[in-house]
Amino acid sequence: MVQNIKDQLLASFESIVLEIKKLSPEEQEKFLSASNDYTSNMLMHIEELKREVQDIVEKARIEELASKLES
Amino acid sequence: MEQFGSKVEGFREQGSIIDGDPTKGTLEKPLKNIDGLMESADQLGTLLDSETLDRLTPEAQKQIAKAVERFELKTKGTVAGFQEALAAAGIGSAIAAIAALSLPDLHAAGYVSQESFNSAVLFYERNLSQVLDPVWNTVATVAQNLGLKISTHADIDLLIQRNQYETTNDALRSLTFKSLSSTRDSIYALSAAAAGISTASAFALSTLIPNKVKNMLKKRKVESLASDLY
Repeated sequence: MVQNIKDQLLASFESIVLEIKKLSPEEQEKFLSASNDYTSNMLMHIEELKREVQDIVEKARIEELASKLES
Repeated sequence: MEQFGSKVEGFREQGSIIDGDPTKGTLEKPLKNIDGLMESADQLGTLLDSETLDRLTPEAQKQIAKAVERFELKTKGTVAGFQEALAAAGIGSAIAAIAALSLPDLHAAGYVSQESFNSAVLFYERNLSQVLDPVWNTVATVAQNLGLKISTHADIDLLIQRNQYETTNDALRSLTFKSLSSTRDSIYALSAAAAGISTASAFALSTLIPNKVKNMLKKRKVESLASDLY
């Protein structure tokens, strides 16, 4: 199964390289720039979600401890 | 966890021509982005494992569901902005082709496992070497003919300088510039391919993260309803 996924990913990667090579160097540069911006924004969103989840989990832990102490 | 971007060091060692190239940094950015995406997704996965979710109150679970909804809204806006940028640049179809090629496989790989990406890196390295080696050999031969030894990117600069001013040797100059120029283009192509992978990963994660969390929450809701019934 893992080997299968690896093979599929490798096949896709080769196709991506071929697809990208169809673009002119200028178009590749534009694609790179747009892609880098997009990925950076996505990273930011994932980081934000991570922080929010972290806060919720932390708050829940504190509330659980507080309720144990009370009882 | 092994760093995808650490492979950049390997690329550097393959030829300082990368450092000497005006596109320096082009290759590093998408690779670092892939690292960042994988790391963040892994951390989020660890933070939100089933055990943690089990311990959370229904209210806290509801808050997480809301946070995921906000995440989905934001990523939808980001995807739309990205597509607009590509369409404005006249290359909108490229991303559709890339997404169509990569998403099913990335999806099949779940959270885009590190192992799968390591395999892609190996493929990537092999390709980079295949592209760079012949060019590097040509440049090295030209340098040798000029009595230069190439060991750093400063030597390449010197080679370019020598060729720029040696107007008597047009053929040699043309060959050197052609080689350097094709290396530059190849680096663009391979960097863009790495960006394609990072883009596809980001696309995949924008769907996989909310789906995974929603499914986990849904499962707990069903279990809780079942336990209420009995």
